[in-house]
Amino acid sequence: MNKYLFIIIQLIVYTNVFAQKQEQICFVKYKSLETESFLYNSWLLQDTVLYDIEYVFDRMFEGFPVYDQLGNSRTETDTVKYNKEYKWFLKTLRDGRKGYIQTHKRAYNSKIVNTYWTQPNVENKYIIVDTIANMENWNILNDTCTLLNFKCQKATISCNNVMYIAWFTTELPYNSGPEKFMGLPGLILKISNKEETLGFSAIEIRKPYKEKYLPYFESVEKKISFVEYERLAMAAFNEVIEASKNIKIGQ
Amino acid sequence: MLKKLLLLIVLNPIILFGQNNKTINGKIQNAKNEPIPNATIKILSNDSTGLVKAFKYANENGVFSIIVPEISKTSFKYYLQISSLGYINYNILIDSVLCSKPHVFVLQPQTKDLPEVHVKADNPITKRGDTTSFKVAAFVKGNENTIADLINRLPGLQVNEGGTISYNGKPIDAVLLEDDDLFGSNYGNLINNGSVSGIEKVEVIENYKNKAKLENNLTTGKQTVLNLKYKGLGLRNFGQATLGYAPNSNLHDARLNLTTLSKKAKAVTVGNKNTTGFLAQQLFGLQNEGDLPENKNVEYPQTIDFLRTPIGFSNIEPMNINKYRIYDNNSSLVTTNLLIKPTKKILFKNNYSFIRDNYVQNYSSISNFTGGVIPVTILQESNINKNNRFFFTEGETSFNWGEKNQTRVNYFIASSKGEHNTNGFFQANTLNQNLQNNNKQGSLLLTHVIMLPQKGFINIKYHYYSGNSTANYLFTNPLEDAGLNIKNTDKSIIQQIAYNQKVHTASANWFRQLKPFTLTINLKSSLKNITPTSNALLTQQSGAIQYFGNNYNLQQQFKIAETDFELNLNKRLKNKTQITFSNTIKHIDYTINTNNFITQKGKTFLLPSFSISAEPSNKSHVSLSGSLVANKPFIDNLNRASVFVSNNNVKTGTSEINLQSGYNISMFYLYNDLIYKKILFYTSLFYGNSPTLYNTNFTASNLYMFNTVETFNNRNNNFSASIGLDKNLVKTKSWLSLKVNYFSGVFYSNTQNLLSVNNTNSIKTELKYKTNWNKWFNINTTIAYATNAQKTSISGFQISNFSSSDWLTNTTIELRFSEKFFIDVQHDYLINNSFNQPQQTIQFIDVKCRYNINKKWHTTLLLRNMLNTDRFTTNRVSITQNTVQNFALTPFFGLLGLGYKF
Repeated sequence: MNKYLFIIIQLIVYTNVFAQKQEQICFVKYKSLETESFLYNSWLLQDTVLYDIEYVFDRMFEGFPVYDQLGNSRTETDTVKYNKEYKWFLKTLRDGRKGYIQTHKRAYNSKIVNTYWTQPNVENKYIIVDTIANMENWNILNDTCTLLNFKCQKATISCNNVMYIAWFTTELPYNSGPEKFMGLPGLILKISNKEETLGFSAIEIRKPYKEKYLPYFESVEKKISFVEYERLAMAAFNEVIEASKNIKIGQ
Repeated sequence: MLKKLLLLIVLNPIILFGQNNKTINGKIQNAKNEPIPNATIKILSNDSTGLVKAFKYANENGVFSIIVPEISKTSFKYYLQISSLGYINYNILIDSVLCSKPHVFVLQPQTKDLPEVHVKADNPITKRGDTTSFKVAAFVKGNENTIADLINRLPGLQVNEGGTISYNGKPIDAVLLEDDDLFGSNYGNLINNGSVSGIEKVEVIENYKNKAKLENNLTTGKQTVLNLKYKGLGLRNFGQATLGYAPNSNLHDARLNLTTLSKKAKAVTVGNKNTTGFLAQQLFGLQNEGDLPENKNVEYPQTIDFLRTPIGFSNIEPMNINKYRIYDNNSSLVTTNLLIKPTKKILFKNNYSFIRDNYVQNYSSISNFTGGVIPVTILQESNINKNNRFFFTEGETSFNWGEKNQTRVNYFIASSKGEHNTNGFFQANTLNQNLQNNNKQGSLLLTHVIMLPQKGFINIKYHYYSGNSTANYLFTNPLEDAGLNIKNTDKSIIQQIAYNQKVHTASANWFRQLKPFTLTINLKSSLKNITPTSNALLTQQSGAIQYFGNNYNLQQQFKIAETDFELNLNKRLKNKTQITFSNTIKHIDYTINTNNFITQKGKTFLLPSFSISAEPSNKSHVSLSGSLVANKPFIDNLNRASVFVSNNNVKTGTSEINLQSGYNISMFYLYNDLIYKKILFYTSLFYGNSPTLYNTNFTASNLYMFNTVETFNNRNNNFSASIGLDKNLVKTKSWLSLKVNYFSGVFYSNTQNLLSVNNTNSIKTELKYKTNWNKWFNINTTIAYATNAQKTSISGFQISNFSSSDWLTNTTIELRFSEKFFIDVQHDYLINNSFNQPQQTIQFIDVKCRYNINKKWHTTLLLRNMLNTDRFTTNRVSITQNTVQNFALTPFFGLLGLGYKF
């Protein structure tokens, strides 16, 4: 009896803790203005922001491999006729990404980004420590617009010789934005260059965030620099390429 | 003085305060006196905008320091806001006290639940670079039948008569199906007949270039195109089939559209068979009867001069009545457009079109003449009966020989036959006229492109065009007319006119880009050899009423050689500013041989031009351009003029050709912010001046009953201006659209050695209001006003001065009673104020009911021409004459329909 009571108490405590935690979270999904092949998810917590990349596999390739009886592959685009093969192809792509975790974490007023990184069949788990560019020279302008029902104000900044235009809202008082962009007195809902060929735009906001899923982030002792991480990532990429050499995808 | 001094003392602190920026220092903590780190401190304007003027973050100890910008004489211009997650915002007005010393700000914890937020982006309009995308789902209502219905719902886009589309006041050059161009400039067929089934997105692409053409990798895109994106990937079939029948009047309307899409092949098939007033030629996109659907996106080295005989019976299209209300027709249309890309190196396109129109127009008039001793009443009944058949096929094949060479073959064949009859009265006598018009056109264009190693290419073209146009005209008047000198032998008049032409054109184009000025050199040489022959059998000439007697044969030959050398300098500056200067040396050489009477004229032109375009912001565009242009006579004009040159009995001219250059200046400004401020504005100005075109000392009159008196184009000036505005009224969930076009022109002509001057001024204004209140009830209304004034004088004496105006309102009430049941009520009201005639009004009401049985099947009931009479009446009054004209309109009918969408 005591055992069950303990479990019930534990469940109630856990649920309440979890509920409180989730109520404080704001979730923002951004789309890239460059490509439709990935989305950018951001969880805004009390003091920190977590973010990761969501791959949209069916937007990545124009064609997919179909195998004949002899095992030879050819590229097809007809998703109706070859629906089974198409679904298998997408499942293969999704399964191929399973186990790859890359979660970024940053305190709101910090330029230090910690990235938890691990991949399947590899014991090493890393925290990659990177410092993002200085975003303090924003030029606040008086232009306003409404994005996702939030009143936004315009600000501009020059970064890597590109003039970026940001639309931020003070109704969501988070010092955050997509990717490296931060440093405004409210959440950045859209950031782009003048031609709108670079940048991100928010497509969904949930507050509070009620889903159970949060990107996995583990504090491990092994910390590496971003340069070292790039070397490791390239090695992992080459490994995937070698493994998939026999599969011809897209054109 | 004392008062002023006192005032100065009182205001002194405020003045001093206003002259300096002040700093607010402080510390932020909670009720337990614990510091709150990293809070956001903002200075906001104290007005309805609440804009952020400055901001800072507190440090880890909650301490901050922020400078207050531009404090003015009036205090309380700004307020300070401190915010931190989990705490209620702290707001305080900024005054001199706040700036005088450091303060401690205590934030209270957030205890109330904040409202839940879950929003998803549903922005129906997005812009990325030069591409503006419209999500179709956000604009369709569910009762659209054609792509034209959909396009008309999109802001900034408008479908004009004939199916052409304009965007921001500029014409759309092509409509692509998932990046492939199947229709070229003849996309009206797709717009008028294509189904919206499967369309997910409509994209407008500015500065577009067709990359299937190898040389376009170096050139900049100049076209504006529409790109239709469909749902899904791979092989897909979309379309719609509808069948309608009107039991009370035995009318039918059957339509089919099938669009097949895959990566390597695309095809669009259209079929239409109707007796409900829709002429097949208009559904195909041909605005005028007998037009040639030349694909303007094919870059011919020289413009094709499509010759038509001057004989024709005009259709009666009164006021602005919709054309489907005025034809008693039986029409058929079958078209197929096909594109295949078997490999990356080969592209094959081919289109087939069969058009058949058979229609009747009836009209009658009653004239009372009261000027004589005995009043006379004359009754007249007439009809126009036309049977037109048209076949058109067009194709393109492209081969890539490696990466550096490309060969393209473009061809088209067009054939049309027309059998036209009118039965009515002429000078109170019965009159029958019969006309047979036949046209045959053929064109072949070979293009070879060689890419050069250093950003250049050579483009060699050969073009062959053959055209044949004939008219057989029979005029039957059973009575002699002494007053008009119509003799018994002239009761039946037969005339035959034939135009033949063969054109050979060759051109070579060399293109080279140089840095840093992006110098582009175009070398183009073309040879155009035209050999037309005209054979005319004239038996009667109206002006002098002379009887020619025997056959009159005319042999003519025109040779025109043109050579162009163009130098083009293009400089790109910041902010997408472009300056282009070009200079063309053009030589034109005319040789005209008319029955061995040879006229020759050659001239070399120097034709500079410039254009400047800039984008001051990513939402605005401005351009200015000007050029000198060579004015030359059209072959058609020369052909007709020369008929009289060779006949001394009719005292005609010398056919002297006068070649001069005119100039054009144009300006365009666009502000496009459909996404944020939801407004679009454009304005354009154009001024053109064309000097004396040519002068033949023309003295003769026209062929009997034909409007062949050509206005000889001497020194024309014309000015046009247009303004367009589209605004999304967010609060009322509606779009407001305003378009104003103004045209002013002075046209000079020389007829029978008398200089006539025509002054024309016209204004067209159109105001549209479209609502998107909800899915149950919406209103679309258009109010159009057009006024036209014209003055004509001959040799300084004013002979006419008239003006007219039209009001047109078009209102559609869109009702939706359930998810599946729609009713659209359309009301047209027309008011015409013609010169010297009483005001005429007419109105029409149509009701369209649609029930979507499921996602694929739907039924319709169309009640057309309700509450209006079956005729349109005009009344012409003078002191001695009162004429009432009745024109038959399509009477009321109810059309039951069944449709299947796939």
